[in-house]
Amino acid sequence: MSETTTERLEVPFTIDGASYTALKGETVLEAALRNGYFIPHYCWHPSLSIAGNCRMCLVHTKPGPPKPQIACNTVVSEGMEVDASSEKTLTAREGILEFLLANHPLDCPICDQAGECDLQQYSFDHGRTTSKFSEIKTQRPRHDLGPRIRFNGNRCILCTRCVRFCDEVTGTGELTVVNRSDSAWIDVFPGVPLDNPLSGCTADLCPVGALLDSDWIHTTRVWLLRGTKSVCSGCATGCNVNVEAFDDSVKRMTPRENQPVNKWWMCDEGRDSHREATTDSRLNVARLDGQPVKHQDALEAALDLFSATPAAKIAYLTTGHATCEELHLLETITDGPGGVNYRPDGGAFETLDGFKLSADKNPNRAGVVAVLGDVDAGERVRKGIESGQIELVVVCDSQPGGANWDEGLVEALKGDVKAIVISLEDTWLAQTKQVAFPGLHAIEKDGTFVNQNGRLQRVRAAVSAPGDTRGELDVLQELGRSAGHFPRVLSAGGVFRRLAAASPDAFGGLTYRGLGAVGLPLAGAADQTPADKCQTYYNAGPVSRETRAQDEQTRVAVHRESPLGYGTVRGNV
Amino acid sequence: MSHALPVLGDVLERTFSAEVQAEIATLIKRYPEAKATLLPVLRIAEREFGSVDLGSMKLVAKTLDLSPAYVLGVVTFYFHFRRPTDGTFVIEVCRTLPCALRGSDAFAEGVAKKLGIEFGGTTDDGLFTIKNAECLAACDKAPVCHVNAYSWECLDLETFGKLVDDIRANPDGFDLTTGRKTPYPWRAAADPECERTQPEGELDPYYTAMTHEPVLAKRFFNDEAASYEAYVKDGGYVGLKKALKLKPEEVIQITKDSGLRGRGGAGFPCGMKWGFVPSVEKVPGPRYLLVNADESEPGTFKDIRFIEDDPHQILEGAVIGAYAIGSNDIYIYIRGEMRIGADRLEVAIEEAYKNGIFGENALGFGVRLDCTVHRGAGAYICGEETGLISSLEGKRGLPKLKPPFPAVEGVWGQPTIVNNVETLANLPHLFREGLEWYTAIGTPRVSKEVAPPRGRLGSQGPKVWCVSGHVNRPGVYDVPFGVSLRELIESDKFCGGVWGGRKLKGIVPGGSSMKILTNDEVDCHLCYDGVADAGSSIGSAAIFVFDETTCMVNALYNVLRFYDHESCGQCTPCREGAGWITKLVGRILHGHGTMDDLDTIDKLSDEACGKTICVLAEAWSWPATSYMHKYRSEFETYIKTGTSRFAGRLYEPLPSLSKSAKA
Repeated sequence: MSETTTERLEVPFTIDGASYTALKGETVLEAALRNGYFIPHYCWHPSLSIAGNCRMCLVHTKPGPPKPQIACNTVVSEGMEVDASSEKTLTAREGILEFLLANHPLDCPICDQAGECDLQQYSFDHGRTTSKFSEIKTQRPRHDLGPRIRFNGNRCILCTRCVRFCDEVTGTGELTVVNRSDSAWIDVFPGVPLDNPLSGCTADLCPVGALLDSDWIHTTRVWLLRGTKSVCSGCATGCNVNVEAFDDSVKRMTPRENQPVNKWWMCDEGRDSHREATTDSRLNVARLDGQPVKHQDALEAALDLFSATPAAKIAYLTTGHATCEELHLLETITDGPGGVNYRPDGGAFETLDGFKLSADKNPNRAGVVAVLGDVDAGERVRKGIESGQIELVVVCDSQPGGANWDEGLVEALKGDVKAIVISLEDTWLAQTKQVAFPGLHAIEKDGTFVNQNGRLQRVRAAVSAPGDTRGELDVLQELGRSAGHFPRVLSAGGVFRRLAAASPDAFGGLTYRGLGAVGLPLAGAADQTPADKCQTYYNAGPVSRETRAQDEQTRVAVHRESPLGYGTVRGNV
Repeated sequence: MSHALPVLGDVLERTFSAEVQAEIATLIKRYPEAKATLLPVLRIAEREFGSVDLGSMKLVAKTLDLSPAYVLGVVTFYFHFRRPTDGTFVIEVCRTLPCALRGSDAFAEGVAKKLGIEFGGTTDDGLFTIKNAECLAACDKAPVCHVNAYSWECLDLETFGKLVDDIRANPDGFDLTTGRKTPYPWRAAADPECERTQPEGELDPYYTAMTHEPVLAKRFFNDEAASYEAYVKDGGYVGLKKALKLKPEEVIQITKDSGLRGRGGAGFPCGMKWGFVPSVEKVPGPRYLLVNADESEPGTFKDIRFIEDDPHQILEGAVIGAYAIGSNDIYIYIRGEMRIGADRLEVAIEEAYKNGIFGENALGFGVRLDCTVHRGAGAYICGEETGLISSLEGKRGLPKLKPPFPAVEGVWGQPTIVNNVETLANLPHLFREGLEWYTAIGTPRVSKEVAPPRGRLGSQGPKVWCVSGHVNRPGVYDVPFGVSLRELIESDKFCGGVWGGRKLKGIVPGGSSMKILTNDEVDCHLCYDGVADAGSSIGSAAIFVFDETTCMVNALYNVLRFYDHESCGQCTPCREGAGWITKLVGRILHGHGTMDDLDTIDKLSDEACGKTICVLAEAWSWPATSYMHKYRSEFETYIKTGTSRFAGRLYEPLPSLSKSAKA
């Protein structure tokens, strides 16, 4: 402990006369951001090397030369006086912005970055209202850099964040700056597109509208999007994401910073994971003996079935996509054996800065272990069915594409055994068994997942489910209530409280609300980073857009006065 | 302006033969990192496949374990690689201001007409490609062009026509090396008549002992003198032997005491720079001495003379420098355009290896000392200290952030000293002749007590000047610091006055990035402090002269076009500002200027200066503001009338020259 304190010597300094402390060796920009003082910057990003090329963070320092210094490359010295808002500093900043906008097309009305663009933001905050520029603008090309990323050279400010990301984080090096002077732009080698598993992050890092995610562009203006702080269900990494939706439909998913989990990144596969919720194969209606019925009818049939069967004769089957709360309910309401199906392993990827994209494509495998302990893939359930010991199986299958049960189990299930199925997909079980309810995708439900390193994190419903979908928690609790397990149907938080009480070894001391935006480690987990160490610098997220308003509050839409006086704009605080 | 990727051909499958692979393997051994060999290996690919196309880039990337995109980025940063569309003979015509002042624009027009193609194009027979080139370091011999990087000098359209015809007649056997000329070998300067005496009483900071035999330029313009034997016969490597008897700290101290200031442009004291190298205890690992032979500042052609005519003078100085800072590796970064220079340096280094100057047991000290020539590939910014380091590391030649300064963390993260060729060439003389002899040359240092305006560091030691433009005798002059600038230009002993008996309009005293001095300001002393007091700087000692007919708008556009082309594109103000101001002055030049534009020039310069990583922003701001302010009426007249009194021409050609051009 004493060692770390000596390493982290604090250096007092001032910004605009106000006293702050920096850690030894910290730059002015880092220290300012850490203290909550925002100095505008483009090319600097905590994960990347210092390029110092945008010149946006110019400040004057004393002691220091008479000319302005870039805050991102100036180390704080003891007693340093940083001048970040005097007239000469602001004039320098204005000048830089005017240069940046000289050849910029100023096409905000048709630019997808508009609304979360640092060029817009800083121009509004620090820029001039007019420009001296009256020449013909230099034209630079527009092209696709890869399957996901579209490049608009005219908007590019050559901060090289994207190039450095591919060099220093993914290590794949697809991007480069070609040519020089103002006719330089970002390009790939012909035939070697930007196609690494994290290519979408380059669009997040781009502070302007030069690199855009072609999956998302031309869909929604960003100020219409409502962000929900959730967790990606694509793999066991559990990347913290903003699920951004408009009109009850998810438009894109972008990463949120969480150092021990996903740094600032998320993979392209994860970005697309919300599409699993909008497939044609989804079950969006309750079924009774295969026929679509009203939810209430199906529920009544299920309750009859459930109460007619002794608890010891009820088994359950679930997947690595079930939340901890669902797992807990399944275990509570049944006395028979349980089985869990996992998605097969997929591609893994590790960045140079230590972000691990897991090969395990199940978001809650660690949660299964923590809640259920030792469960198999359904072997005991099969034996129970075959021996006639099990008469009813509760199937809770929220795995996109449907769980892939073992052949023996499938044969057993095809028999006379009865089943109550809650399923994301319209699987054969849902179509052939007694009762089926539509399940929820991770972007539609609340609950918790435990990631590969034992971090318990909250998923939050960002959009509502299609049709008359009540979801797993609701159905399972109704079943359990009929058997006298619970007095009433609770929210995910309520179920979690029960879970924490039931499994104090793993979940003791944790509260649903206390998990916050970045989650908390389970007892004995590999990742024990406390919540306040998960984020590095104030307003320096993975995404320039994280500095924008939409991330400040989750799902709180408010109406506020438009600065232009045209009535009100709908958006987030 | 064209903003497409240069034509880079198809991604053909290519392979290096076993011999070439072996060659590359040997090359890699000369550097601590394989990546550093990127430019040399690209040169090899260029040689093997005729050009650097996408296929060879991919092969090079694979060979050096780099990503293809990285290699593409590097190749497109440099302009001197052959493109797949280039003809057998690439003719690069220098269009930069010093050449333009001596008729390169008319010459270039004639070249295009003679070959029947536009600049950038290739003749139908695939034999010739013509390109615009930036300063080719032969401004005294303008107009010049390079044919496959071999210099052809003192050209007119007649001789050029003959050159083309000769090549056409014998494309395979034609000797391209025969184009060099030495028309103005003005290496001497000393004259007792110029001698001055130090006034009694008050110390004159500009006092100079003018009795001065050529020192640095003594052996120039003599192809025989370049060999090791000839150099030793003329007293070469004596200084080195004397220096080696001293401790490294003593060598640094003597260099500090000598007042030797960097000759590359900034004039930073050489000994002080060496002193910044931390001790081995503080920063372990190798030290590197880099020789900056990337002479590219328009108007400068002194370093090329050292390189081509007296390479051992550089090597001796470099060894002294390496000894002082404890370096075992010397890299000479030479401009890609200087093909003959690179070849001659290679020969000289080989001789030095043979004679035990370099090698495993260098100088009998039992330590290794290696010297490597590293060819650039056509980027002005690589003459900047940290741009050079980036380029040597095999990267795009982007200047690096300071701190860390190169002396502490330079090339490959190790302490590095970058010295100009001429700075190092001073060292053999300093150590051979001694401190007293050395400090007697030039203007003295003035003690701090005297506190003259800027006279503290003084300007000591011999100095070579390059004079070009509208003078009777342009060339290289070995004249000590302190001579009057007007005297240098107008005296018959030196440049012989402005050509054609015309009046002097202005002089740029230190390369095109420096502020211009008007006719009223040129009575200054030609030394660091004297020119600084006159409001400019001696920079790289490239002096070019404007006669009274020069159109300043046109001249400024030429300068700005150069810096726009050469801005590395890294920092916002320089990247955007250089393009902006060039377009703006171009607009004035085409008759569409407004009076507000003149204020914009001022504001742009003000907003860019001091806000970038290197000083390239200053390099275009200083000429822009100084030309505009000092010749404002001319700019205003141009804006009002839409043209100059010379109908938009850069200058009025001399009658005799226009005659010969017609002929």
